[in-house]
Amino acid sequence: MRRALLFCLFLLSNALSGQNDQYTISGYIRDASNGEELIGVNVVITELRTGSTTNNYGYYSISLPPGKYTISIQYIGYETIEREITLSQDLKLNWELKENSTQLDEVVVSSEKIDQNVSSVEMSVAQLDVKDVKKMPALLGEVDIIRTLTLLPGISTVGEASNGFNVRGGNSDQNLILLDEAPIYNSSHLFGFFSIFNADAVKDVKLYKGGIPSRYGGRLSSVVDVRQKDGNNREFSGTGGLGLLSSRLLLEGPLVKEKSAFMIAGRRSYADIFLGLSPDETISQNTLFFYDFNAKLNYILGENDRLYLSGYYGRDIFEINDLFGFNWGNATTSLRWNHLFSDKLFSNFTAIFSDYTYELGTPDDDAFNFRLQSTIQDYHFKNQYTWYANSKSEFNFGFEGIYYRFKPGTISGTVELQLQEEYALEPSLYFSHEYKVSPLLTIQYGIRYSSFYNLGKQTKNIYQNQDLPEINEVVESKEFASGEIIKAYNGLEGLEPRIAVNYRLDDEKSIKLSYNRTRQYIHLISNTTAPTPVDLYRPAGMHIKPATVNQIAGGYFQNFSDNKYELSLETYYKDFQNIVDYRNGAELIFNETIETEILAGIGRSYGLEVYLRKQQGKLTGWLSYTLSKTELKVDGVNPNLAINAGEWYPANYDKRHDISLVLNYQLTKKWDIGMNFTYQTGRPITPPEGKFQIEDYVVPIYRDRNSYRIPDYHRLDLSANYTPPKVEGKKFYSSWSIGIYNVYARRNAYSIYFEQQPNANGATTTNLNTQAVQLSIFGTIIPSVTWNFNF
Amino acid sequence: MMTKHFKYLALLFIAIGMQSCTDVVDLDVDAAPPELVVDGVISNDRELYVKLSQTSGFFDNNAFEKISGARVSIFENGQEMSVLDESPNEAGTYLSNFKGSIGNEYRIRVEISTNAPDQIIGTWWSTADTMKRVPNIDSMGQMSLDRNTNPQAFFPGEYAVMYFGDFEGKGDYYRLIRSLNDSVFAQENFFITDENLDGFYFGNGLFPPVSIYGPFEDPEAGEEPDSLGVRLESVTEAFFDYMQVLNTQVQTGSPFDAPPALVLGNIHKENEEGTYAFGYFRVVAGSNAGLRYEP
Repeated sequence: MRRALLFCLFLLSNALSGQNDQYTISGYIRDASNGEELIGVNVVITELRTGSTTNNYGYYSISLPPGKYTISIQYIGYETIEREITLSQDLKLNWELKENSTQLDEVVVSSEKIDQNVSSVEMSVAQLDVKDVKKMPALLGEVDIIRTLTLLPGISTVGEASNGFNVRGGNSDQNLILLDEAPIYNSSHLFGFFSIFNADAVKDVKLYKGGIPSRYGGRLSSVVDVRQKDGNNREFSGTGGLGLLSSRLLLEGPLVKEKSAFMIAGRRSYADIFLGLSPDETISQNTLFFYDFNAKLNYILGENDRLYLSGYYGRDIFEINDLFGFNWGNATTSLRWNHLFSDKLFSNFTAIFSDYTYELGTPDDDAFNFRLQSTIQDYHFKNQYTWYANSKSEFNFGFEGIYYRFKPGTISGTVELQLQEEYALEPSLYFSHEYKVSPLLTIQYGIRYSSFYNLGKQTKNIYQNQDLPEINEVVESKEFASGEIIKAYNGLEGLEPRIAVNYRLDDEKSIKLSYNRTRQYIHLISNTTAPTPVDLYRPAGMHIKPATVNQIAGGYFQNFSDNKYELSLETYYKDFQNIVDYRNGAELIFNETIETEILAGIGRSYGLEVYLRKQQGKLTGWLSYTLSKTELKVDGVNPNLAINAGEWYPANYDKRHDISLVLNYQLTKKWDIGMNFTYQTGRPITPPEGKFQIEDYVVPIYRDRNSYRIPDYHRLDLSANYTPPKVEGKKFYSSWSIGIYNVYARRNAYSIYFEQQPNANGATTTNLNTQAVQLSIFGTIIPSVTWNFNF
Repeated sequence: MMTKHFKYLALLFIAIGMQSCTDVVDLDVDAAPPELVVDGVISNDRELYVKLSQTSGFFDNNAFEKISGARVSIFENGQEMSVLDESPNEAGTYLSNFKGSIGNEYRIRVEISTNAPDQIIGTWWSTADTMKRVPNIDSMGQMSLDRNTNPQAFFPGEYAVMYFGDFEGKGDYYRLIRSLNDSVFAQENFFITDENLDGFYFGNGLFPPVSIYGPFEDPEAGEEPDSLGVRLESVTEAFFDYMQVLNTQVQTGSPFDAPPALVLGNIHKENEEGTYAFGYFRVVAGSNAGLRYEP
């Protein structure tokens, strides 16, 4: 530890020496067509073979000794700009990039190379260009960012109908999903079929599965950073579409030209309209739809200050025969203020409110009516700084505070009941330093310190064995006053070191290594195979401990043919501590003593990921392959009740092989075609090794958890997009997308049920025969057509 | 309960919205060697029975193998009271006229020396359980219910309701076993706990009588309803928990189902706490009532 500290101090002193005789080039980089700030643009100083990239707000800053330089601004899909500059004082240079129209002709515009894959210290990162995602085949034509992410190595789902996704062996509650920095607690609509992100409103998506920068914390396995569009500050415009599943419309425009803009977007599905057409009354009287709204306002207050206000509101609504209804969804608001203290010191102050609520119940006008509501809310404050010290060093530091309010259950209506609310505070601090030691070696090291306080007001049970609480072993009931600390996790175990190293073998090859420790203080309480929208997060506290992951990853990165092709090979190992699992038969909804239903386990996951991507030319796309293994181990109250008798077993989402091929080919200027092919090892299920009869129940005997696999999954999807050229002088233009999902109509197994055979109608004795039934979500080809428009 | 509703809705959505399909499939799974299964009950008012059988492979749809020739005896407060006789009509079913009394503790001993695989041979015990008090069913009634009545019914029609009061003091668990025209309903899983309702009287003021069957116009079993019988049994908390787990396990595999788990009851091998048999020996007290349906 001491040696590591000394080494860091040495790097720091090296990094800071001789920085006084330098000047700074800084500014914002925007899209020329709409003034939208661009994220991750490369700013390269050709002579020094060094550079920087724009941050999440489109800002860059480089400090160099005085002299003449060639500065090159490069961004995939945009024309590269090169300019000679003479640096004899600090320069503010804002750039506007034009979309690349010459891409079709396979001309490499730049003499420079867009080689972030090789040069950046970041590894285990998946980035999506929303424009590419929109061209890909999609289920029912619904452009889906999360589903597309699962085509990248290391990211998978349990199946079509499951909420969330799994990253490198992590459960779906281990993903920090941020929409304009506000955490999203449930990223799916309609039980996981579609994601909550309206692609029209999204500017940038980045997923970290390893080497997670120290500015992110609070979840174990990944960070998905989704940024909404700021809004066109040049002119009023709109985008929209009509599809089979939903329709959407986005409007954006300046409030004050070049200074302030707005963006609003809405989307609504209409599957329920089709249900209404069914002649079967039990089907036609059901309601089922989702909608969401995105909104953003931004205001450039001056040279050094910007304000952003963003919001999201979405709901899924599900009613059955007007008897019983469910609805659930996220709501978020974030207010951000960017301030430049100097050209080198960028800061961001953020205030966030996020809410996830589900409700279920009967209509209010029923004589006996009830409504159960469950909510998690959080209030965040973040203050983040980036200091672009010199051309070799960049520092990130800041702090964050999250105040949580958990309302596990409130019943209203004829009977009124309420479970105790829980409160918690999660403060954290972070620091990181990215240092280019030499043109060949870059090191990023940092640390995050997080702590967690479970707070009153609450009455807590104290059990005989606090580590393994039993409902009939309550020793006393202890009252905690409002704001009183019930349990604090504020020791050294809250230190989360993050280290990444990039060593360039030559211009086209590099190797990278990373280590990170992450910690998670809130757990999704779910006792189903795939989480459902009615599962809720609960905080670490007196009985539930925080979970921790240590991850090491190493990779080889190479670009070919003038960076047209990118290749990465990565391998990782993760070790999980204090993963929450549930006792057999646990009742989790509306349960005051949830700690008596929970067990803690450990996990391990390791794998190899291969990713080959082509980003330029007529043919673009990628091939990804993941070989991985994820296992869990949970000891129970006694060995007979432990999961899998306390032995290691594969996680529900463990898939040995996962291959995806994604291609898009620009046939003509008007037509492009796309395909996705995916192949995955079947996920594990637990087969019954026998059965027994008690009364007239036939009960399966399950011992070896997840010891059998459902058949392998594979599927081919195709799409064709027709985009007529814009007519000069006409603002309105439209395009068509046609898609076929599951082209060869494979009945991919989603799950296998084990059940007693159903009784024949009118039978007076129970059928004791048992059977296995395979459920396939899509039994056939799913075609789609979508009309998109812009004005 | 809530997750069940949710599961139903989710699966309905998948079925109608996504053109899903199901196929009966065969799995290549090795069957484990047979193990002992005990299914028995002692009450204060009915014949005591214990059924001994063996587990079988999940895909083996032959009748479960019975265990004949065992010695089964009932213990009251630690003392052997009666040895059960094997029924001449039904192999593996052991019977006795011995009745239990409320407040006493009961367990069975099962000694198997022949006619069974090695792992089943030996002496087995159920956990000792106390027979718990059971309230009387004060009366039964027929009521027209719909969504705006109390009790509420989603489907309007004539319902059977039951009036009874819970005893003061928490920890009472009751099971309702209903029979229509003398046939007991399949897979009865109707439990009432006083966890949140200690000492309440069902059928008085705010708390309505318990709706136990209906609508009569639309019979569940497809048979014209004539009479409805109901038996209220006091059960132990452990058996209540057992049935909760069992109910999560009789159908598993859907993503909205609970993860698979062993359903373990209260039967253990003598001197081997870790070796269990499947099934349950229940200690219950019952009270009975009935209703003749009047259209």
